[in-house]
Amino acid sequence: MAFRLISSKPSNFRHQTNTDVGNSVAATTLTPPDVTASDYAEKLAIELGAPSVPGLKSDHPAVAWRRAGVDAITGFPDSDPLPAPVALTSAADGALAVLKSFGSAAGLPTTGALLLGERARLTGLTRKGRTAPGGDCHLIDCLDGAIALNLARTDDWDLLPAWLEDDGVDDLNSLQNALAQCSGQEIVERGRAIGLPIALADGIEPTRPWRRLTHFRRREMTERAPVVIDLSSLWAGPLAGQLLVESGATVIKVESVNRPDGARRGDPDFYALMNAGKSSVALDFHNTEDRRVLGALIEKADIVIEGSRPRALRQMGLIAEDWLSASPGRIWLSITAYGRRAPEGEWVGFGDDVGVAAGLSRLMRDAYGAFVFVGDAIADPLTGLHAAAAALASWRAGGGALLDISMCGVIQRIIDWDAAQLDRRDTTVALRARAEDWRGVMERDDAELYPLRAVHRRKIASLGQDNERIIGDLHPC
Amino acid sequence: MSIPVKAGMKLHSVVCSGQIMVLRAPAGELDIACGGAPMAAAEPAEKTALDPAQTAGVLVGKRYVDADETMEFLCTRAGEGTLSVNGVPLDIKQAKQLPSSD
Repeated sequence: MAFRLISSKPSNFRHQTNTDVGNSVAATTLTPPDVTASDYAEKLAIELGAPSVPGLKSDHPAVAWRRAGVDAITGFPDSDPLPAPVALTSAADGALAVLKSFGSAAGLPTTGALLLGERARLTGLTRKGRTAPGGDCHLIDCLDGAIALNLARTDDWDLLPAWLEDDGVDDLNSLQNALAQCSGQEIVERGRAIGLPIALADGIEPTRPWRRLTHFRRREMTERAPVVIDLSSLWAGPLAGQLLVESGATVIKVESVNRPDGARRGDPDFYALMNAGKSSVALDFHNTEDRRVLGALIEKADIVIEGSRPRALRQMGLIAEDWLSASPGRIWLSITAYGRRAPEGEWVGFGDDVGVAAGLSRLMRDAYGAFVFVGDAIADPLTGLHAAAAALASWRAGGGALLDISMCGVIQRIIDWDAAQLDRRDTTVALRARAEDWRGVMERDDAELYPLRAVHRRKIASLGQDNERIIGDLHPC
Repeated sequence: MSIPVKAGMKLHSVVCSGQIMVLRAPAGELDIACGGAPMAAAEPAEKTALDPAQTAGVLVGKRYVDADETMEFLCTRAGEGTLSVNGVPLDIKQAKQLPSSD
């Protein structure tokens, strides 16, 4: 099926404005002046109680989109790259600015937008329309709309016959045929109940806060750098941990020997960027002695980062609330797809499907006429940035917090912030006008892409490299 | 009590709160039990007594397999009974390998 963009009328919407556009773009653009990284940063800083970020300069959303390389992975393969009609790059730049406001800017990336396209540029991903650039997440039509299903875990293919009650489903084609007969709402509910990463493309996911904060006892404010145990894997959690490394924290990555971070098998440069500067401890979570060591490590930590469903760690005897109650000033940074509450705390989600759940593909449909993925697992880097900023803000304020970060909530927060600037009389018309305008901005920009960050592979700890030193420190004798 | 089993079928324990979904099963009939009693297609109105020798429990979200992995079940609600098929207890399947990217 050929994909055609909604025909674009000659734009009546372009005016001369004096916006903060990048230096090589002509200023004949319509850019609602409120959709800026500066505005995003200011609001986020207030919400987090972080220092204010005065006079933040950053590139126009469409310019940053292109220079971060996210344009190349958004759209259909045989059509032009598309800008998302929402200022995701400005949110990334703004969140990074908040993180930098705490003082240690030196090792942090130059722009937040850079992080959105980093993995795709390192691995040479391309835009695939209704399949995410990574190749595992698919937008598939059902009876009454479309769903996104992420099959990044090969074991999830085994769930499909039971999910659809159809033994014949064993490839993408049979999956598409079976789903064409299903109601989206029902099939998404059923899929979530059995642990599939799945979302409705045009349904409205209830808006949930990006950060649910439960207070525990604080300690006195401190300038001391925190000790962080990072139990997370893949992208959002490790990125948050790495941003904390660059902000001065001591971060120990703790992995299961049986089930180490899957990203170790992915692109080594990307893995290096997400984990540079962390020590590595590997433990057998099924072994009693190793479980004791894990408990002792966490006992000495100021911040725990984890990206598991709440019950997974509870089944291992790690109870966030107990740990937070045991000593003042601790921070538990939980990063999940939809937050920790029931029932959504049981749902699985990854960066691509969660972006769809939050409404990004619906916005693409509204702006361009077809559901299509936005970027590469885009909820991951945006969540990593927000999570790090939230954790650091809490640490500086004396800690004592369970930070329940929802990836879907982060994207919803950005969409809501952005939509507040759109013309409310007819948001679809406003969205299309903006999309058309931003495509022009993108096309006229011919500057170099943002330089990729330097990769220092020597800073990468091999699995369990620091076991002896760190576990030895636990019981000095 | 053996019953025909199909992928997607839900089964309820009659001795505890346990619930499972059949993910894969060989053709033919199976005797699927929880806590020593055959599991039912519908939630029983009243629970019967749990066999005290069959209390390994089922954990929500875990997959259960037989020794040869010819069949696989997903626990959709936790319970106290031991899952067994044709009298042989099932084991927890090793956690899913994490993807290398998402």
